[in-house]
Amino acid sequence: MNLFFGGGLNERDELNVTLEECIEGQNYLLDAQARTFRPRPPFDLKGTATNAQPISGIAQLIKRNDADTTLVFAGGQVYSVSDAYAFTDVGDITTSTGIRSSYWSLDDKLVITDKDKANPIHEWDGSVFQRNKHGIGNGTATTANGFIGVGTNLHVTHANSLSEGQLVTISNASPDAWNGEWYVDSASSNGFQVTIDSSSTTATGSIAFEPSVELYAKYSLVWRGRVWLFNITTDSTENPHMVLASQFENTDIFDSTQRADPNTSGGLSGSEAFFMLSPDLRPINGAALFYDTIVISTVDGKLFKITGSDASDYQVVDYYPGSAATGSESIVNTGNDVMWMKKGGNIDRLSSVETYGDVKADDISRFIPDETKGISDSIAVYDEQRQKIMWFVSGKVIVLDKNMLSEQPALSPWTIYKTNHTSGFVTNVATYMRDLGGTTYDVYFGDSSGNIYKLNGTEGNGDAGSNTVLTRRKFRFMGDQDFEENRFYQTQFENITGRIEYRRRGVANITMKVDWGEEGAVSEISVPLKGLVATPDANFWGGSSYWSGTAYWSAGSAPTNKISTKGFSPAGKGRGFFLELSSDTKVDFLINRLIL
Amino acid sequence: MIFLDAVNRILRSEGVITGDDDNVSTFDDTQHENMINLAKIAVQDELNDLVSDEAFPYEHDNGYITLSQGTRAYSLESDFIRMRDEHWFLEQVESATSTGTATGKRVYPWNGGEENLRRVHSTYRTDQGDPTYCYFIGGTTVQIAFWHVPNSDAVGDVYRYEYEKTVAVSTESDTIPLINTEAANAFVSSASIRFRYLRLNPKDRASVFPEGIEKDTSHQNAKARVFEFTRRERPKTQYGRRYY
Repeated sequence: MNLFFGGGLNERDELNVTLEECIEGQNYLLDAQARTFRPRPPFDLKGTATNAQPISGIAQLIKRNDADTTLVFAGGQVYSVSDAYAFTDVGDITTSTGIRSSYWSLDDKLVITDKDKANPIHEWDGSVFQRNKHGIGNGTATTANGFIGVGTNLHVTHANSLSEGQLVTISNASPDAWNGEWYVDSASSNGFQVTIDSSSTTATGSIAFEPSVELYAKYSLVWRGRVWLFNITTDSTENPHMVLASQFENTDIFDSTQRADPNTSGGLSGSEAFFMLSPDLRPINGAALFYDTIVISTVDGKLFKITGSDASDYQVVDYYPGSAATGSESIVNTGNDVMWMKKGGNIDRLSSVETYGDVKADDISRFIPDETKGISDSIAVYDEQRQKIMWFVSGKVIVLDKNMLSEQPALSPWTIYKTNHTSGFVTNVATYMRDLGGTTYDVYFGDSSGNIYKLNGTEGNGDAGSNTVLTRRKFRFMGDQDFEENRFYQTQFENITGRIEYRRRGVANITMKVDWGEEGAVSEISVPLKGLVATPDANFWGGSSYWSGTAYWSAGSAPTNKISTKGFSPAGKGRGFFLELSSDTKVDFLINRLIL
Repeated sequence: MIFLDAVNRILRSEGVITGDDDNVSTFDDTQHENMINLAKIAVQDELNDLVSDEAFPYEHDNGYITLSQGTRAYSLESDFIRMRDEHWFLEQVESATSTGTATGKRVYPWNGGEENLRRVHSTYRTDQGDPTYCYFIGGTTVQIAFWHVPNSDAVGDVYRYEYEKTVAVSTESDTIPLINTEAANAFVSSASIRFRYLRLNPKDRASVFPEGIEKDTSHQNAKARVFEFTRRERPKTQYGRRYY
C-alpha cells in the first residue's frame, strides 16, 4: 500500500476521511499537484524597527514608475524602510493596532486608515507622511482678526485650537490661490501659519478660517475612480455604519452631508462626494472588492454590496443575509472570490453562497471545525503568488490552498502554520507586498517587538533564522479495510514494515508514532533521512584508474533530490493503527510516499 | 561475530536493511525496532535449539568449589546449565586453577538425590565428616551440597566440576558462541530462516512453511552446516554403506 500526502487537515472524522488527508497536523506544505510531505518554508526575520515597539502596520507604495517605498508603523513612530531594512523616522502616530492603506494611482500615494480609529486618515506619497485632505470642515468658520499672506506663507492672527499637521480651510481671501484646505505648519493659541501650494500675490480680503474635522476611517478601498472609506468618525462623532466616497477622481474631497441613495432623493448628479449608510445601521467591520462591486460586512449583521454606477444611483443593498464577518479584518478578496470568517470561526466564500445559498457547502472550513472553533478575530491575507489565503489568528495561521479548491475538491485544502519561535504568530499586521528591492511578492507580518518577518523565507534557515519547524501529519485510523483482501492479519498478527521514499535534501529525523488499536501502546520510532549524496571526489566506475582519472565519471558533485528509501518497522500489533509522521528540523525535507 | 553483527546480517539478508538503510548500530535503534526485536528472538531461539543439541564448543567450562567447615551447600557458577558428563563427579584438585593437580579423590552424586538421602540419613544436613557424596538442592540458584557436611579436616579442599554453561546472548556485544566465521555465518543463515518464519503472519506462515520451521528443509540444511562446522572433524562426503 502506498500512502501519499495530497490532502490537508480534515478534523471531521478520524476513521473515515480520505487517507491522503490528515486528521492532525501542522506546517506541511500543500500543493494541488503534489502529493508529498514537506515542511512549509521558514519565515525570515527581515528587520527590526528602531524603537522595537509593536508593529501595527506595514504599507507599501509602488508608484507608476515602479519605484517603491515602504512604511512600517511601530508604536508611536512611522518609519520608512530601505531595501536593506534601515529604518528612517518619517512621522508620528498615536499608538494603534491596525494601520492599513490603499493605493491611489492618480496622485501616486497611499491613503492610510486606522482600524482603531486612533489616527485620522493620512497619506504617503513616498516622501511625506501627512493627513489626507478631505474638505470636511467642523462647521465653524471664523473671520480672522488679522493675517499676512506673502509668497506661499499665510500667517493668521486669531485665537484657535489648531496644531501642527492639522487641516484648516481658508476662505474669502483674494486672490483665490490663498483659499483652500491647507496643512497647519505651526500654531499657537493666538495664531497659526499655513503654506499654500504655489506662490501668490499678497493676500487681501476678510479671510475666514474653518478647522477641518479629524476624519477617521477603519477601512479604505479604491473603486470606480473614488476612495471609499468605511466606519467613519469625524472628530468625536461616531458613525461606524457610514460609508464615505470621495469625489470622483479626487481624494481630497469628501462629504459627510450629501447622501447618495436614490431612495432618499439625494439629488446628486454623478461625480460628487457622498456618504451612504449600512442598511441595517450596524457598524461596518469589513469591506472587500468583488468583481464589479464592493462587499460590506456589518457586525453581527449581513453582507451587503454596493450597486449603481455613480453618485446619482449608488446604494447599499442586501447581498447575503446568512452571516457577516467576525472581527475586524476577516474578509478578504481572493482574486475571483471573497472569503470571510464568520462568528464562531467558520470561513465562507461568496461564490459558494451565490451558487448554493446558505448551506454547509459554502463553509469551506467545514474540514477544520476544531482549529477554527471560537475564533473571534483574524487578519485575512491573500497570497496571490502562491494562491494561498491565510487567516492570522493569535498563535497560528490558518492556511487555505486555493488551487486545492478547484483541482482537488474532494480533499481538504487546509493546513495550519505554527512556530517554535517566540513571536508565535501573534501579530497585529499581515500584508501581501512586494519584496523590498525585489520583484516577487510575499506575505509580511510583524510582532510585538518591532520585528518584520517574511513568511516564505529561506529554505534551511529555520523560523527567523534560528528555530526549527515542527512539521507533522497524522493519518486517519488504518485497519483491515485499507489493506488487501483478507489482510486483516496485516495489522493484527503481522509486523508492520515499510519504507519511506524520499529525496535526499538534508539530514533530518522523521519521527513515526504508531498508535495501535486495541492496545494502550504508542510505538515511536525515528527514521533518519540522509543528506545530499556527497561525492566530490568519488569515482563511479571503480576508482580513478579505470576511466582515466576523476574527470570522466563523477568528477565531483553533491547531487540533491536523489530519490532514496529508508525502511522502518515500528513495534506493536493491534487491530489497526493511527500513524503520525513528524520532524522538528530546519531541513526542507521531502517525502514522496510511504510504502507499507 | 557479536550479537549485533548477527542481527545486522539477518536484517540485510532478509531485505529489511536495504536501499539507503545503514546497519543497526545499537539495539536501541528505533528505525527497525520491531524487526530488531524479531531478529534478536530468532538468534536466541536458534541458539537455544543448538545448545540443546550441545553443538557449541563455547558451552564447555569448569568451576571450583572450596569447602568450609559446617557449610553444606555451595553455589555453582552463575552460567551453569548442567553437568557436562552423563556420569559426572567432582574432582578434588590442589588449587582452584586450570593447573591445579588432581589428588585422585572424587565425590560422586548420591544416587537418588536429596530425596533419597533424606530417607536414608535423617541427620544428613548436619552430620559432619569427610564429604563422599554430593547432591543438587533446589532454590533460586543452582547449588550443590555435600554429605557428609565438611568437617574441620575438609576445610579448604577444592573440587573441580565440568559443566555446560549458558551461551545465551542478550546484549549487542555478546559473542555468538561459534569459533570461526564460517560457522557463525552458517548459524546466522539458520537464524535468518527462523526470522523469516517469525515475521510472517499465520496465514503466510502456513503457506511458506507448510510443515513448520522444524521440518523446513532450508532450515534443516542451514542447521546441518552449523553442525558440520562445529564437529571439528572432516565431515563424511558420502552416505550409505560401502561394500568392499
